[in-house]
Amino acid sequence: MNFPVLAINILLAILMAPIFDGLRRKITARLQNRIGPPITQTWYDILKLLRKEIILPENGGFLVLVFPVLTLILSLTMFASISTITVQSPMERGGIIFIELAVLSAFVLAIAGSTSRNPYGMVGGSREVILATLVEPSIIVSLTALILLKGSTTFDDISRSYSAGIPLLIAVVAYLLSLLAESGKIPFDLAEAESELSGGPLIEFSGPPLAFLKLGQSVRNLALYSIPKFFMIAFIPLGLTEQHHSITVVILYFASLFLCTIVISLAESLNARYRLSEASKFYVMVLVLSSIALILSVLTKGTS
Amino acid sequence: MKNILRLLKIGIARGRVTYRYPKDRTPVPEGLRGRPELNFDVCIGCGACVKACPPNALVMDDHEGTRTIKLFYGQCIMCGTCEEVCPVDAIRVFEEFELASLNREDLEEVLQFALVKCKSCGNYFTTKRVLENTLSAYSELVSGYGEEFIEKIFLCPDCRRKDWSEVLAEVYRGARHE
Amino acid sequence: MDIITKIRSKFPDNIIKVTELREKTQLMEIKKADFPQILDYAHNSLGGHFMTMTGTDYIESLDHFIIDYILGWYEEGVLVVFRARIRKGDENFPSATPYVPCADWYEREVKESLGLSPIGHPNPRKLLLSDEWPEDIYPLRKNYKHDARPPYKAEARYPFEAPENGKMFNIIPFGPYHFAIHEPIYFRFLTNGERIVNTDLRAGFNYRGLEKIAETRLTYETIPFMAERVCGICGSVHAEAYTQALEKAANFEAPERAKWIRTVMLEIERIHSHLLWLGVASHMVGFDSGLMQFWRVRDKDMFLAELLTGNRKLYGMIVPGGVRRDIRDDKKEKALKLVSEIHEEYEELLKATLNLGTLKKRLKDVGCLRKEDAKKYSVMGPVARASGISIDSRRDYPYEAYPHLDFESPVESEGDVLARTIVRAHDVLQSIKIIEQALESLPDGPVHTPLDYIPPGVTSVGLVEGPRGTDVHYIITGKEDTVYRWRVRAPTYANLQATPLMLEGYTLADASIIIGSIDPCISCAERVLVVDANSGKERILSSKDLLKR
Repeated sequence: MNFPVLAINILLAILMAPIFDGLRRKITARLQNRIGPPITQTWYDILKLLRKEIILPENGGFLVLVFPVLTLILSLTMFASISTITVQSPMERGGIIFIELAVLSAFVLAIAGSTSRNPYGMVGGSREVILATLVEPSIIVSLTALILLKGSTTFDDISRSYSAGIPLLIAVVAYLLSLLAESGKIPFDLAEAESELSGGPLIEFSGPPLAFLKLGQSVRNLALYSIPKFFMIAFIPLGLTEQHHSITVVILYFASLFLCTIVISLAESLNARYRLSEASKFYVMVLVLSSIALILSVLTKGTS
Repeated sequence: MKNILRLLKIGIARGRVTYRYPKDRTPVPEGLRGRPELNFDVCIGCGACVKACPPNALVMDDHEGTRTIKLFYGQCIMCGTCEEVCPVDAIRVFEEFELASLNREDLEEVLQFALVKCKSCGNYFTTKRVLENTLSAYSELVSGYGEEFIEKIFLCPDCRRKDWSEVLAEVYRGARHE
Repeated sequence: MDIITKIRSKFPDNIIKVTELREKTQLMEIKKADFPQILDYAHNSLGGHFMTMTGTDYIESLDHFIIDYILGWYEEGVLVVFRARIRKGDENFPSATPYVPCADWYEREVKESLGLSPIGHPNPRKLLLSDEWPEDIYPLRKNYKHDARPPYKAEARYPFEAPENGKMFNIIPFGPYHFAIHEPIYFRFLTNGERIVNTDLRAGFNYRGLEKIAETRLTYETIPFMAERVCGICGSVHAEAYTQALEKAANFEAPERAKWIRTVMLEIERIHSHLLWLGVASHMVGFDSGLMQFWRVRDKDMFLAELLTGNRKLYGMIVPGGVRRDIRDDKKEKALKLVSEIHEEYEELLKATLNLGTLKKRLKDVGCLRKEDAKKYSVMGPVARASGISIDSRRDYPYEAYPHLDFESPVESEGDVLARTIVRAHDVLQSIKIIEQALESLPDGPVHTPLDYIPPGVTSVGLVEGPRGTDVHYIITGKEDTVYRWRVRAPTYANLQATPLMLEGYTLADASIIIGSIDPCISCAERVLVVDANSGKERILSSKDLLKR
C-alpha cells in the first residue's frame, strides 16, 4: 500500500468532488441562458447541511445515519484502487476492487430507499433497484474490457501493452454511455425524480446525513470520471521520459474529469426524463455495446 | 437529434438573461406602480383615499380632536386608486418597489390633523384643513356672500341640514303668503 | 328561441315562467322537483354545457332560497338560467348528479355553504369547508356575519374512500405539499405497484371565502381588485368577467377604445399563462431546460405588461366603466416591437422543443380523455379542445373587441397530454396575432365612462375565455353599492372533476404531468368550493374497474 499516494488521492477526492459537481451545475446553467450558481456552490450546500439538526424517522432511524457514511467510505475506498494525478496507484491489482465497489455503492441508495417506510421512498427504492440491476452490468463489462486491453489490473500509468484502435474506442464509448446511464441525472434520474417522487430514496435524509450522502455520491462520480484517463493514455505517443509522464498524467486526469462533466451536463440540459420503459431500452443498448467491446478486447488480447 | 442541436443553439446564442442583483438592476418602464407616498404639506385629511382603498391599507381614526391617517405598505396592493381619488394630489404613486425592511415602523406612515368643532352642536366633524381648502378653492364664489354665509361652513352635516331646512321652511312659508 | 321551444315542448306543464334577461340569455323558472329531468334533457339530449350552479339566500326579504343552474350552448351562443325556489323549512332539492355527473361539486358546495341538501347525491361530503367546521353553520347565509368565528370541532377527519377489502393497494399521498403541484391540494392515489388504480381528492386548502367578503365589505368599484386576486395567473380574466356581468346588469357599454385595450390585456395574460404552463409541464417531465427557456420568453411578456399597465402581474386595469390607463402612442410602438420579439423567440423555441424525442415520449398517449367523457363532465378550454370539442367563448359568446378580430381556435382529437400541449402552444401564436391586430387598429376615444346607475336585483352572467377555459361570473346586484350575490366559477373547477378519469391506469411517474395537463389553478377553483374529485367518479364507474394497460 503506497500511503503517500493514498493520502493524495483521498484528499483530492474529497476536495475536488463537490467542485466538479458545481462545474456541472454551472455548465447546465449556461446552456439554459442563466448565470448559474458559483462552482463552489455544492460545497456551500454540504457545509450548510452539516449545521442542521439530525431528524430520524420513527422506525429504523439509525439506518439513516449508516447509509450515507457507508456510501462515503465505499466511494473513498474506490480512490484507494486507482491512480489520479500520480503515476502510481495506492494498491496493486486495484481493478477488481474498483469494479466491485462501483457496483456495491450503487446499490446502497437502492437499499436505503427500500427500507424506508415512506411510500415515496419505497417506490423510489424499487425503481432504483431495477435501474441499478440493468445498468451496473454495463459498467462491469466496459471496465473489464478496459482492463483486458490494458493487460493488467493495476491502475498505474506506466504504459503496458495497449492496443489502441477500434476495440479501445468502442470500449471508451461504451464506458461513457454507461456512465451517463448511471449518473442519476436527467435523462436518467427517475429514481430520484424531484417533481414526480419528491426525491425518491433521498426523502428520508436531511441535515448531516444528507451532507454525507451528497459528498459520498459526488466522490463516487469523481471516481468513475477518472477512468477515461486510462483510455486516453493509449493515444499518447510513446517515447516520453518519466518526467514528461508525470505532467502528462496530471493534464490527462483533469481532462478526463472535464470531459465526463461536460458530457453529463449536455445530456442533462438537452433532454427530458426517461420513463422506466425507455430507460431500459437505452440500458440494454449500452449493455450490448459494452459486450461488443469486451468480445473484441478478448479476441485481440487472447488470454491474459 | 436535430432538435437537440436547435436547443443547444438557443442556449448558446441567446446569451445570459439573468443578472447579479443587486449589483445590476434591470430598467423598469415608466409608469411602474410602486409605493404611494403621502405629502403632509398638501394633504387636507379628507379621507377620500381611505374610503377608496380596496385592501384598507389606509385607515382613518378620529379621536379627541385629532384625526390620524395611517398608511401601511404591508397591506398596500399598489393599485393607485388613492392617487385617482385624491382631490388635492397629496398622495402619489412612485416607481419605488424595493420596500423590504426588518422594521415594521419603516413601512408605516402616520399623519395627524386637527379636527374642527361644529359651531352648533360641538361635535368634531372634519379637519381644519378641509375647511380652509374649501374656502380657498371656492374663494371667488363665496366672496360675493357675506360673513353669515361663510359661518355656515363651520356646521357639521347634521346641523347644516337642520339649519337649511329651517331656512327652506321660512322661504316656503313666505312664498305661501304671497 | 330554439332551446327554450324544445324544452317547452318536452315539458309543457313544468315551466312556470320564462323571462329574457338579455338577448340570448333566458331565465326559466321551474319547480325544484323538476330539476333532474329538465337538466338531464338539457345537458344530455340537447348538448348543453354545464356552466355553473348557485344558491342565494333571500330568507330575510322574501322567505325563500333560490337555486340557479346555468347551462350554455356554445354553437348558438345561448345561456339559460334554470331557477327554482326553495321555501323556508323545506331546505332540500333533488340532486341532478345521477343524471348530470358534472353537477357533483356544485351541489356539494351549495349544501355546505347554504344548507340546502341535494337529495340523492351519491357523495355528499364536505367540499371546501374544513373538516373542523361545525355541521350546521352555513357561511353564505345572510344571517352569518362575515367575521364570525364558529366553534372549532376538534378531531375531525375527512372520510376518504377506503380500498376494497381483500385487495392489496399502496396508498400514495400526493400533496398537500408536493414539488409537482404548485398549490395545496391533496390527491390520494391507490396504486398497484406503479399503476394508479383509484384517486380520491380533498381540496379546500385555499378556501378564502371571497364571495362572502364581496357581499359584505366591498363595493362595486373595489370588487375588481379582489376578483383579480382570485388567481395570480389568470387575474384579469376574473376582473373582466365580473365587469362584464356588472355592465350587462346596468345595460352599459364601455367605450370602444376601452374594449380594445381590455382585449389586449386579456391576450397578454393568455400568453403569459400558457408560457408558464409550458415551462411547468416541461419541469414535471424532467425537462428543466424547457422550464428555463419558456420562462425566459415569458419574462418578455411580463415586461410588456409592466410597460402597459405598471405591474408585471395583477394589472389593475379592468374596472367597471372601462380601463384605468390609456396606451400612449410611444408605448404602443414599444409594445408592438416587444410582441414581435416574443413571436420570434417563441417560434424558435417551439420548433426545438415540441418535437424533442424524449419530451414527446413522455407526453404522448398519457392521460387520455375521450370525447364522450369530456362532454359528460363539461370540461372547458384547452382540455376540451384537445379532446375534439370545439368551444371558445371568444368566438361563441363574443365580448369586447373579439367580433372585430380575426383568430382561430385550434382543435386536436387525441385527448392526451400532447394534444393539450399542442393546443396551448398554438393558442399563444393566435394570441400574438390578436394583440398585433388590436394594437395596430386601436380606435380613438375615451377609455373610461363612469357607470351611473346600477339597478338592484338584476341577475347577470359574465362569460370570459380564460387561459384554462370559460370563466363564469354570476352576480345578483344589490342595494348600497354592492352585490347581493357573486358567484365565481373558474374553469379548473369543471376540469378537476374529470381528472380521476384521466389518471386511472397510468403510472405514478405520469401522475404529476396528468394533473398538470389540465393547468390546475386551484386558487381559482376554491374561492368557495371544495373539490372532491374522485369519489364522485367512483360511483359512476364501478370501483371494481381496474383498467390494466
